[in-house]
Amino acid sequence: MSESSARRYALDPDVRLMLEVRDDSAVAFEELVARYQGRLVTVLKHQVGSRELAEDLAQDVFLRMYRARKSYEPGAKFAAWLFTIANHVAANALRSQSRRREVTLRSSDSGPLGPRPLDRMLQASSGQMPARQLAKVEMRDIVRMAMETLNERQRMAVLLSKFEGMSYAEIAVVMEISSQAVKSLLSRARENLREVLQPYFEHGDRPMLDVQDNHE
Amino acid sequence: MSDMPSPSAAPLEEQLVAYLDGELDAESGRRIEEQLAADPRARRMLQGLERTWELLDDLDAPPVGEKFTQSTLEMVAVAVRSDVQQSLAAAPRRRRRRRLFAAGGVLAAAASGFLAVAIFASDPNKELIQDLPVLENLDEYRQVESLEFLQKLRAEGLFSKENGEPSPSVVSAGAPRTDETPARRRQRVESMSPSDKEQLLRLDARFAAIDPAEQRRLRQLHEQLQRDPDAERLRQLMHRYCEWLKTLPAYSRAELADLNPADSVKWIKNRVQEDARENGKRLEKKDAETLLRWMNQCMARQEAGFLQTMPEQERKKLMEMSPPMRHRLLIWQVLQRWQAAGGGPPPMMTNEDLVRLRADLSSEARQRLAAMPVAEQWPQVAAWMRHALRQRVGGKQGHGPASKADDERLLKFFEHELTDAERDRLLNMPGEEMQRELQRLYLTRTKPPEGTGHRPEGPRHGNRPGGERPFPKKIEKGPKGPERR
Repeated sequence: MSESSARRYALDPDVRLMLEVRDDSAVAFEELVARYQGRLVTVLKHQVGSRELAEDLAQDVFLRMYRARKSYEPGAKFAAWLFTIANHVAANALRSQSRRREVTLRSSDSGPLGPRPLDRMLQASSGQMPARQLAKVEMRDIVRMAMETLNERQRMAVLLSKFEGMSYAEIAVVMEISSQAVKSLLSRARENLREVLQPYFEHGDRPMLDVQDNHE
Repeated sequence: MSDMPSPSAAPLEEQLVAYLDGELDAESGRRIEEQLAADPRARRMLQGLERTWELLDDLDAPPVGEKFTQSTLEMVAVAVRSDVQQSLAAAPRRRRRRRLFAAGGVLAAAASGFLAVAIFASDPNKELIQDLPVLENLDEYRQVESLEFLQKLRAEGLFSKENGEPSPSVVSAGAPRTDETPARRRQRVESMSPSDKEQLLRLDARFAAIDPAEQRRLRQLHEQLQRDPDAERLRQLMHRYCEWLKTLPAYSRAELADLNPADSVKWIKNRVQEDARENGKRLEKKDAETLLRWMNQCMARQEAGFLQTMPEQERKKLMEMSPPMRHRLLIWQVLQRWQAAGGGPPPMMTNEDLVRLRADLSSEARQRLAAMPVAEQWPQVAAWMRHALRQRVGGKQGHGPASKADDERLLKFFEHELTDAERDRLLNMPGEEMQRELQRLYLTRTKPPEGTGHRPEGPRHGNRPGGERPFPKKIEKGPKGPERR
């Protein structure tokens, strides 16, 4: 074992586990599944919008991880390797859905397709109700729908940053883009979220959302 | 819309996000803090970004329980097992038995945990352990019709060890261990090396692809053999018989397979006797080389005279060829005429040539010749000559340097792989056309392992130069064919 490899194992115990999987340890494999299944399902669920699909995709990720075990080379962080697989799996799943609809911000009206669930929900609330008075479950739905205003890449960058606590460099590895690209991707994503949510939690203004085809 | 960032604000947003994410260097961080201190709009923007980011905490993080873990592990185990089966089973039909060690190292290495439990749950190797002795003798059992067949071979005195066949020690390696309990068998399988396990799985996949009735027959044969008081000797006989089968060309094996059991023993006996006679025509390599050298010397001496006996057109064709090619073709011509003449010395040769040959042969071959009347010695030499020419010996004798290797390949093909009719047809073509046609035949026939149109008495199974590049590049591409002189 080289010195740099040894350092990596010390920094990331999951790298050591994955090396054991590479050497055909079932116990290590099970341990990694247990450690990462929740994290994977969370990211995938918010990325593809369906809990059921997310679970299927998470299993696919673990299967791919197992099949790729012999070619695993220890990197700085095991999670980056695993989420690279997850990113591919999620992208494939989204691609296979015919023309995924994305919710984009509309400033005033509900658009030709009529009010969306968020609109309906907010209309059901008492018009100008401040954010803090909304039930927690409603708040979660609003945030979830705000996330859906992001495009696929922006959303993945946000999820990796928010839920995996990844640095720009690590996100860059997972998404196979430059750190600078991650920086602008996250900046646009967070600005979009702020645009949707800030008026809402500051003044209770209803964001009006419409469904449009949004291809990056 | 008031909250849309102006173009000049965009870099500020990016800087603020990077600042919140701790991705700014010290200098940039200091600058953004100064700006925040002086600019209320920037502060509001920062607060908005921060608050929004906190709101993401409310996104539900669905709990994933043990059930999911188990179904994941099971799904992976099933998929991996399927991968292994697909990669191992050459036959289209696959058995769906579970194999602990089939599912790759992970499954094999697991001492505990769901993955191992899931695969082990139904004692997956039970069938394999039961069939192990059959699997380990699959190739030989498949060749044997019944125990009675082996007993008949023994009664005919065929493949007994007195015939100089392999010794029992060689045979016993694949013999089943009669005293092996299923538990010991299991232990032996589980302690096998990965490559032995792979090998066993391949056998198992082959066995699984066999018709169930044939599977039952093989198991029954094994049981009968085990019970026979003379089991060990019958196994040795079976092994020698199977080794002998390998020396037969494919068409002969097919012929044998079509016979009913009663006729097959008769056929085998005839074939073994025929082989013994053929062996009499065969020469040791050294003697074969001596014979070819002798023939070449005779031809060199007699070539001009022999050519004179040929029709003008044929002579012209031969003269257009390279000397080694011409030499070999002349030898074939001599042999053909010699055979047609029905005995006596070959054309242009005398009994003195025979005396010279005898002197150069090994004492064993010399004695074999000396035991015959002179009239029978010439046909024997002709038979030896045919064998010698079909063996890969003496390739370069009396010929040019190694650069003539292309000619040699063509010659070998011409001599070994063509029928007499094809050879005649080629010899009736103009030189260059013949060369081209010969190359064409060579290229087309050396590609498939068992091409059609081979003469029945051609080389035995396994003698063909498989794996060699079918033809040298020079000839494949060169418009003029081999170098001429």
